[in-house]
Amino acid sequence: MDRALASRYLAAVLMVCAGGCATDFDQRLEETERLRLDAAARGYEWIGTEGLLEQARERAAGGDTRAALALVEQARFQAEAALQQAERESEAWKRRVVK
Amino acid sequence: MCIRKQTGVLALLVLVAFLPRSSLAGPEEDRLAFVAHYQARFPEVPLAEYANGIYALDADARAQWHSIEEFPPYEFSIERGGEFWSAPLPDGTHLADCLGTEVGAIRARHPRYAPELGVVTLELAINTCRSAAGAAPLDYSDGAMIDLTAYLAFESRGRVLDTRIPPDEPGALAAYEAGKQFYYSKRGQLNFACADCHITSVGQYVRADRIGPSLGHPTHFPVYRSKLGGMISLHQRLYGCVRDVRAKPFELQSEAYRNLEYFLSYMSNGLEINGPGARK
Amino acid sequence: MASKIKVKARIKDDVADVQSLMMHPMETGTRKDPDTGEMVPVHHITQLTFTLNGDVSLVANLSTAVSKNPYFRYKIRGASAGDTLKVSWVDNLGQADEVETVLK
Repeated sequence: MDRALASRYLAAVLMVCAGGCATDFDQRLEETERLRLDAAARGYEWIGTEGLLEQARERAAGGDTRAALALVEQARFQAEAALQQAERESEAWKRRVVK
Repeated sequence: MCIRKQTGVLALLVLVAFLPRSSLAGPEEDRLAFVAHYQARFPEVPLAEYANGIYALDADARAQWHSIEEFPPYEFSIERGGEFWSAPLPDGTHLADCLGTEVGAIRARHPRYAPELGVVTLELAINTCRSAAGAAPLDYSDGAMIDLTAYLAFESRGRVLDTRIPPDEPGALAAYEAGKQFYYSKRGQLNFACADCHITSVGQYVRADRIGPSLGHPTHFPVYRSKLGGMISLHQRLYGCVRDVRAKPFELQSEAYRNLEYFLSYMSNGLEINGPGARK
Repeated sequence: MASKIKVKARIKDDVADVQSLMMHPMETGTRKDPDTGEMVPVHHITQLTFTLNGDVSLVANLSTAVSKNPYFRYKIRGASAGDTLKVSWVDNLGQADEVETVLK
């Protein structure tokens, strides 16, 4: 995902959260990590998610909070999509069985 | 339909409804449907040929494979495996003491189900035996493990896959069903199920490779890969496939892959074991 | 350790079709060890020789272009059952291997 798209995600997050949910990096990171672990528990974790969160931590440690938050949002997209996939596939797989 | 035929059909349906059903009706029905699907798709390919994977479908690849098989690159692996098989374990026993002295029968007996361990693959059986004898378990991607399975596969050539799902072990059917669900479930960022490539897209190209049918896949592992200049196991291939659809791969010999192997092996019942194989 | 050179030969009419597979790492010297990060030293067969009844029938000077576990095939006229075929190699580290077989 390119930076332009990630920035749009960030903007969307900020808009949606205008009502008062956390844009604090650490909280966002923690929430996303939990989603990633949920996906992993269901056996549906995507390959890139953990790496994105690692990169986010590194960027934050280096002081680039904007880039760090963008990376967290990419990871969150992956984790949420993986969970939706797990939910969908829990029934959808039956339709593919060769009869 | 005329009234007599309708009555006949109705009578037949009633009869079928009351026939005794074995608890294996599910997997056996699955397998027959699986086989029928491929046979309808490729009517000129004899069933036994599916043990050769993509070479059953691609004439050019088959010709290249035949020339490789004139002097198989996996022969060194088989030899090393044979030596490893005969070597004593730390407590003085041998692998044959756990797995049996009739070497040719061993590969053919796996995968099987054991209540304490779940699906027992050949690799898991080898390591279970080693642990019991005080030896460190072999790495599942290690040359020694692959050489051993190459030797055992070679010795089993000619025997057919006969994967059993014991009706008195509910865990066995559950493991089969879990493997089946895995096979048909989309996963990863690319959102592919095993079935999407190996059933729906069989014979089509993914980059420079033609996709082979799942029917017969387990018969020819471990496999020498020209690309690597070395051998890989079935689980290494499963690991690669899951990674290639951009899902986080599971560990070799994890429950997920063992259940999948159980399902795939059952689907290929009746096909001849012809490992080790040679592939791109 | 079992033989590191395998030979198969088929005679048809007067011609022997000789195939050989030999175990050798054939390292080019440009590869890095994935575990240590160090360059893997050059180690490849430099000369491969086939003799028939003691007479040299083929010499191949190999280098880094040939990959791991070389497979080599050639045909030679004037071979018959009972002839002795010898395959031997030397490499850049001074190691050597050979095998002798009687053609059937």
